Amino acid sequence: MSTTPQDLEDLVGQKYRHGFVTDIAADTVPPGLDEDVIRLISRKKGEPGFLLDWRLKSYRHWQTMREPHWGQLRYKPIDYQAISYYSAPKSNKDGPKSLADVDPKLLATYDKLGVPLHERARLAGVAVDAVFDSVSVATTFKERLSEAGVIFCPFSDAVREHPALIEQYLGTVVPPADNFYAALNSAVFTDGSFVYIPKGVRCPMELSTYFRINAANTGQFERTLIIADEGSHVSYLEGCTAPMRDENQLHAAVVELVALDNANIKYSTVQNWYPGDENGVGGIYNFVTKRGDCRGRNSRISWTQVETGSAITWKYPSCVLTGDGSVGEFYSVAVANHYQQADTGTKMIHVGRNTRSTIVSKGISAGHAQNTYRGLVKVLPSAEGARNYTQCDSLLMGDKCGAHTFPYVEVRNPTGMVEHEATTSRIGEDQLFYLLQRGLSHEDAVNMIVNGFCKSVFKELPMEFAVEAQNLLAVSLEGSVG
Amino acid sequence: MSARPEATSALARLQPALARLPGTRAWQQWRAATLAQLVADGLPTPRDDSWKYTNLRLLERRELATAAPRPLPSDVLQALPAAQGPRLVYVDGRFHSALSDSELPAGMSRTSHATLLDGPPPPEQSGPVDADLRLRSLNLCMAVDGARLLLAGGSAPARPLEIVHLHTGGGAYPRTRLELGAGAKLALIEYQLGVDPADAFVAAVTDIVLGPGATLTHTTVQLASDRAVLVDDTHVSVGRDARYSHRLVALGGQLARFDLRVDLDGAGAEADLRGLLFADGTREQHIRTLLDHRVPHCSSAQLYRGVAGGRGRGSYDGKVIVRAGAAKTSSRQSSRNLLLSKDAAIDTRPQLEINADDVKCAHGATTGTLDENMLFYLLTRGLDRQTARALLTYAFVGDVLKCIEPQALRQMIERRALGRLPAAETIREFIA
Amino acid sequence: MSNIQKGNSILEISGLKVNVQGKAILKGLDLTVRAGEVHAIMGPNGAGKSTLSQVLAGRPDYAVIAGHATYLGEDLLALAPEERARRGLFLGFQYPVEIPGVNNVYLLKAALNARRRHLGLQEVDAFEFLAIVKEKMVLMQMDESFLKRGVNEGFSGGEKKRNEILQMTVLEPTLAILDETDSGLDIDALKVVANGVNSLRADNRAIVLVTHYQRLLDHIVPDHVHVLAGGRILKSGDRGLALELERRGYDWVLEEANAE
Repeated sequence: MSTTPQDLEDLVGQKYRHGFVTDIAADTVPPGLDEDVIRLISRKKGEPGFLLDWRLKSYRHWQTMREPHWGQLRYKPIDYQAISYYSAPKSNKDGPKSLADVDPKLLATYDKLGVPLHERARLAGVAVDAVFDSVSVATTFKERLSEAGVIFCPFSDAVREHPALIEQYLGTVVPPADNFYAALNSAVFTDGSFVYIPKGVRCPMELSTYFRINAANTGQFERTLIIADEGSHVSYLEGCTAPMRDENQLHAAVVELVALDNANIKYSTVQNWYPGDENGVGGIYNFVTKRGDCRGRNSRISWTQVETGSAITWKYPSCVLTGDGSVGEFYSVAVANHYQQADTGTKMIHVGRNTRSTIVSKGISAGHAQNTYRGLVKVLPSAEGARNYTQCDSLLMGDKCGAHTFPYVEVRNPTGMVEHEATTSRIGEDQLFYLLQRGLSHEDAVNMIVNGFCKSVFKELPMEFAVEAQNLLAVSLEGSVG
Repeated sequence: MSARPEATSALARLQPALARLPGTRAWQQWRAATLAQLVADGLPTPRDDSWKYTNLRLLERRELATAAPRPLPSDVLQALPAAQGPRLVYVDGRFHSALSDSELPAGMSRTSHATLLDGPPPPEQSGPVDADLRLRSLNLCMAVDGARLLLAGGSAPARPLEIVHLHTGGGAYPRTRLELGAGAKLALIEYQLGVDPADAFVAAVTDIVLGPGATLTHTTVQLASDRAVLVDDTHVSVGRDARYSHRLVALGGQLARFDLRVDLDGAGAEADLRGLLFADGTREQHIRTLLDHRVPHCSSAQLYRGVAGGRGRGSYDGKVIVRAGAAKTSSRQSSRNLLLSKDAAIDTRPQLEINADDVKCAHGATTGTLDENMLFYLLTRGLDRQTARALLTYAFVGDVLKCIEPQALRQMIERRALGRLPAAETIREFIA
Repeated sequence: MSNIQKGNSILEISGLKVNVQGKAILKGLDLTVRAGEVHAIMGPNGAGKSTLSQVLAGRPDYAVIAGHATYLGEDLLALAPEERARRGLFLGFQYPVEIPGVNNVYLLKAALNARRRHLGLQEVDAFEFLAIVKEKMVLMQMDESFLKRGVNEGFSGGEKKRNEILQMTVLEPTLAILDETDSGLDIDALKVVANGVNSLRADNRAIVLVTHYQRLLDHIVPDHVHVLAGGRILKSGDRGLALELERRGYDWVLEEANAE
């Protein structure tokens, strides 16, 4: 962990490091949403008929739904007709073929974001799918992965190349009618990643998707589907950034995970969408539905998230523990500074026998931010011997912010055990004093304590990203230390 | 919200009963308007967030109007332990002087809610009533009597005051207001007692105001009859350096819900809430608490134990709010729940809403079966499984029972709680 | 119990294999304990010492997958935990559990009477029992407030261990297994505990001390010392073995065993 003292000015200068705009010619549809826009998206992607029908059905259902407002969130109404639902770099017209064909401006953008797309660069052990606004612009290591039988490709490619898998699994974990944003996504999603790990295969490298919003006035609606067949293992990581703009932009993704017998999916997120400025102007509205189905016996799905960005975060990566002996995990660090609002948590639905789940949530609030943990642990009558342990801690930095904990525990089987613990406090004066006495600056001492507070979550991240997450935390809390 | 026909019908049937209630013409008008609004709003349902775990559809077929007074069995109070102090008895919300003591604790004065019915009614409600306030509103609409008690500053009666609410069937709308002056000290024991076979609906409201430095130990023993539906809404304001302790033992009723809101309004105020909910058979026991830390330097502790057996259901929905500026707040919340059978269910929702940073707040909640390690330990000491289980079940609720005062009351409750446990006889002597 | 003679077999374990959460912990353990003997089972952390203690007491989630254990001629592994206890097998736990709300002294009385019923003896009443327990409390240097407290409730580590030994002296078991009874004790408390154990040494009884360190054995001198490592007894000897282990650590035993 870095505790090098830095000039305050340095720090202010690098407040949001990913706020630049790539000047690139884009093919952007005019703002607005109707069935024609959906047909246009589907046509641009050359989709089979079943998918267009699925989109239109979702759209029609969405029109009957109301925006949910049960979150501990405040924001101005979103005008869904003022958003452009498709924007792609012109140079990407027929989709990327190989890295050599990718527009150098895009390669430079990802370099600048710290996600070089050259296969021998820093992330040599990680395959990356780069999604830029509405489309995937490059996917690395496709060949090496296909040797192992692993499919890792843009969602659009999967629709064309593996329609049977898409038709079999799409919407089986998050049905289009699940909620308002999932319905919207089902109607207008443009790209995202698709992963299929065949039976018995341990994916030879980390898979990663890097989401970048670039164009103004657009929304990003990606869809990710990961299927881990019997006995397979995969670790997947997503990262997200966007330029600094004064307008709020909408991001409404859906992620579906399916783990069959003895399969293991580890899904990590480092979410660093533009959070808005210190006065709460601008930033991404992040309304995301993520759910995994432990469909097979003894399967395991593990969600790890580090949420530092977005003006508003509304996401509850969940596990449906259907298979006997399956395991669900949720490890989360959510940081909210300035005027950020985060309402995040998880649902663990125990259906199968001897299912187990663990929830570790660390919330940090600073400035005028509001940070809420919202979780549901449900043990159904069929879930003999289910176990859950939840630990939910909140740290408050400053007296203008809020930290809220809303757990729901519903138990319908007497053989299980569900335990929930939560604490809320500020940084311990004695801890701080101890570190100051050892010569640390106030800023570094706070960073060290906060990192310690989050340690049990960071250790769940793939190594390549744990360091990044720690640094991100320090930057996010910039200026919050009195 | 659209009208909810199932609940509305029971409320609508109340209309003719209004004419029989005492009070000025203005009150009559107020009642008509209030009931009309309630009929339009309906009773709270699980769609209302704070009623998520309680469903009042049971009331659909109930008679909500208060029955005419009828003769009581002579041994009607036999179920209670000997009076610990002066006793006030209310039958279906109406004061019963023959069963009550005429003397009050030193320093206490009493008037009746009935006297308010000669004065002006409250301002009329315009528009829908919040789900949380509807039963309060119904109570005020229907209440014709009720104790209004004032304990003068500095008074500290040696013996507890007892208030017994008897339900004989039909609607009962007990209404109590208690104010403690500065430095006053009181133990209040309240009984909710059903006279069998009472198909009762009880909507009780209690308002308590504690002046600076006052201390109230408030024990509520709920022994409603097996078919009763009871909703109790208690609201307490705790002043500077005052202390409010509440003990709830909920053993009876078909469906019982206790709403307890405590506002810590003065610096140094303290609240200590403990409760035992016992949901066996097809019983439902629900508790909802709201602890509002409004000013700095206050502390609160909550400790609730729920046991559900048979097809019983229970819930604990507890919220702690720390307002902006309420620094040096300390708050603890513990909810532990035990399921004794496969058809029993318990829901918990321990919530923290914190808007100040200099705080120490924690909660813990567990739901499940008996602790395997404890069970194994007892077995290795030679106890049989049935005894060990009964013992652990009893020990589970001991945290709440052990702090019930006075002893005679604790023993009565222990007897009743024990009687509901399997292998009760074998474990009587084990209790620490 | 009285018809057990010095040298009679109390416990015979052969080929015991135990899995805990799917992991093999004991991998074929043999041990014979006779009346009048004190055995010390030593070994590095994670060797399976606590697993052995818990399995002998009948812990339900530990799976015996092979082997036998015979206790006083009966199949020990077929008995429920409480049946083992009533036949005089006592486990002093390494981490005694706290059971708030269950009175310490009543538990002990119930345990004693369960044992006496099994032996066909008359149950003791509250007065007789109090006399017995007070005498033992003097031996264990425990004060009377203990009588009113819940089982191990709010006890310090040392108090819990003393409480375990107090229970043992009251129950007068035939076989006492003491799991890491010395851990967490200061030297004064260690002496008190050792006194309690020594007071029970008898020709018709056996004691098995499970320990990581030699120092307890300065106070309770064992007849036999065994090294448990990797789920098996690798070496047995007398008191001298314990002293050698103290001096040389465990590695040489492991190497010796590997060499074989």
